Amino acid sequence: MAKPKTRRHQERRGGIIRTALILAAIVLFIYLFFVGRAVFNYFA
Amino acid sequence: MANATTAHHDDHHDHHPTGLARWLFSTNHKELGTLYLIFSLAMFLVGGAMALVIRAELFAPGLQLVNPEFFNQMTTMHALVMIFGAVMPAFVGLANWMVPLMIGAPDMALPRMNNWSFWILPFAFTLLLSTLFMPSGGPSAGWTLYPPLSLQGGNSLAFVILAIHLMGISSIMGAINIIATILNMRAPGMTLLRMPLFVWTWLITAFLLIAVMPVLAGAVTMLLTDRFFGTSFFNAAGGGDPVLYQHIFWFFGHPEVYILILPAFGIVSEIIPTFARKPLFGYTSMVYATASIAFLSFIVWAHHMFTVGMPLGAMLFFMYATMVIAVPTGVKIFNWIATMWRGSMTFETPMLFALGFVVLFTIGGLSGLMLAIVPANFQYHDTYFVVAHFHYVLVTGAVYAIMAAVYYWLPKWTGHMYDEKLGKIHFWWSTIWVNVLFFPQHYLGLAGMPRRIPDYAVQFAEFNMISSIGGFMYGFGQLLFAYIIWKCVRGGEKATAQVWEGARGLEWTVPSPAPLHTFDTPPLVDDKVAVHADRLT
Repeated sequence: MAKPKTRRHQERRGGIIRTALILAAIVLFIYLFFVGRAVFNYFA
Repeated sequence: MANATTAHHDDHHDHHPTGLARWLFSTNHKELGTLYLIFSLAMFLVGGAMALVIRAELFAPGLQLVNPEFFNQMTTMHALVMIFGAVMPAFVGLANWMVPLMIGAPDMALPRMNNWSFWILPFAFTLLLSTLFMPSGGPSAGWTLYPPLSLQGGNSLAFVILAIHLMGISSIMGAINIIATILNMRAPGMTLLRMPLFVWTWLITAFLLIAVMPVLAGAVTMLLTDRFFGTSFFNAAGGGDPVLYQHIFWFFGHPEVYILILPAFGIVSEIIPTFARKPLFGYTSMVYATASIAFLSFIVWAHHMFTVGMPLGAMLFFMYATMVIAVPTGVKIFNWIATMWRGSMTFETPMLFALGFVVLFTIGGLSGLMLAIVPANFQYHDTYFVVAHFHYVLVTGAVYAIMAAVYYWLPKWTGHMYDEKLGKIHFWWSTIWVNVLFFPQHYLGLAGMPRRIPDYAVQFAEFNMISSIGGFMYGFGQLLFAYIIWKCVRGGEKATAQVWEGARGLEWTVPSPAPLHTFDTPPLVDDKVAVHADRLT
């Protein structure tokens, strides 16, 4: 049986995941901004 | 009640794997911090060996030891290994160990991702170093990988680019983890403006990493498609522009410089108050200065490429913006000096390295100001003056701060005091020889010796010989550093929880060595515990 997380961790899990996802989205956006735009211009 | 529940639920942590599995599958911030630091030390020695190849070849004019192609591979690899393999993982290792301890968190926010962030690195660097044994050899166009030169090498470029992508992924995941930890896992009462400066500088550094590592990834992806898939992003013959690469690269590259130095500022801001036995002078201004430096780092990138030709207005903008960075940096140096002012100072090894940092990093900062002046830059560009400048910033800056941090926190990690006498010998040996190594390079550059060349005109012989002697003495002196760490891990005088008389902060409230799990029950933080609170006595 999976061990339950601590209460503090449970309370903060939403915040942690939300922070991580927002940051990952920023990374992806910047990468695509540079590469995607260049590729678009290249083929345009 | 919540605390009792916490303790009960965390009991399963006691069944800890041993042997190789302990390190392979660890999700513990302290174990991963240790892995990062060991990896960094190994890369420091590998990159250092490459530097010694460079200095041995430059000991005298003429070609003696290696052929020019291999020399270029050494300069390129030395930089890549030292930046991405030694300095950055060292700071990430220190963050892993200390950030949760400093903010009262039980671990990093995303422990499994933490494991992945680390274990990518050995594969990335095996891949990178393996290119040296490929038929076309390793990368030889410099760590900046400027096209068209970087596109004229062999197929090993594909492996180099994959390795850089892996390092980038590792750094991005590490940065996400650090931000998520700091924003979500602080103990009750640990408000943002009560956080230790090391935590603050790392928070800002992590945002820089998030912003610029994808830019580097974009640049090298386009390099890859230019080399292997027939695109012409950077090929003038195909309608592309090689200068575009330089702009994109330095849009990453300049904030990268601050990624390498901001955590060092944080470390020095921890150590100086401890050994001056005074709270840090101007805590809030330190935070704002760090944020200002981070912001300015995004608008100065073209000062690396004044000589490619750009409009006068652009040159003036980048020159003045670069000079403005001296203001928040000056605030920091002023605050460190003001912290020491009338303090009860003692000079244990961490303090010696921190003071060495303040003095020698400032030399690197001042030569940076000289380089920012456009007309002067035309003379200095691509000379040994630039090499001297960034080695003062990165060796006597970043590396000195890492060494200071290791001496400062080693008793907390191992439970033993290191050999103070050997530590002081290490400091003085390093400080004398690092200056013999790098200071003459200013003169070489002012006299016009270009960087990245295996041979040079005879008028540069004496200073090169002096520099090489300094290099070998400094380099072999670092074996003493490895010995001191090994000796401290093996045993020595027992360290107390506080370790240093003037130390303040949560990390000094846990026993030495720090137990595998700390702060399962969150501590309550008030002004007495907060490291830099003004009311601290």
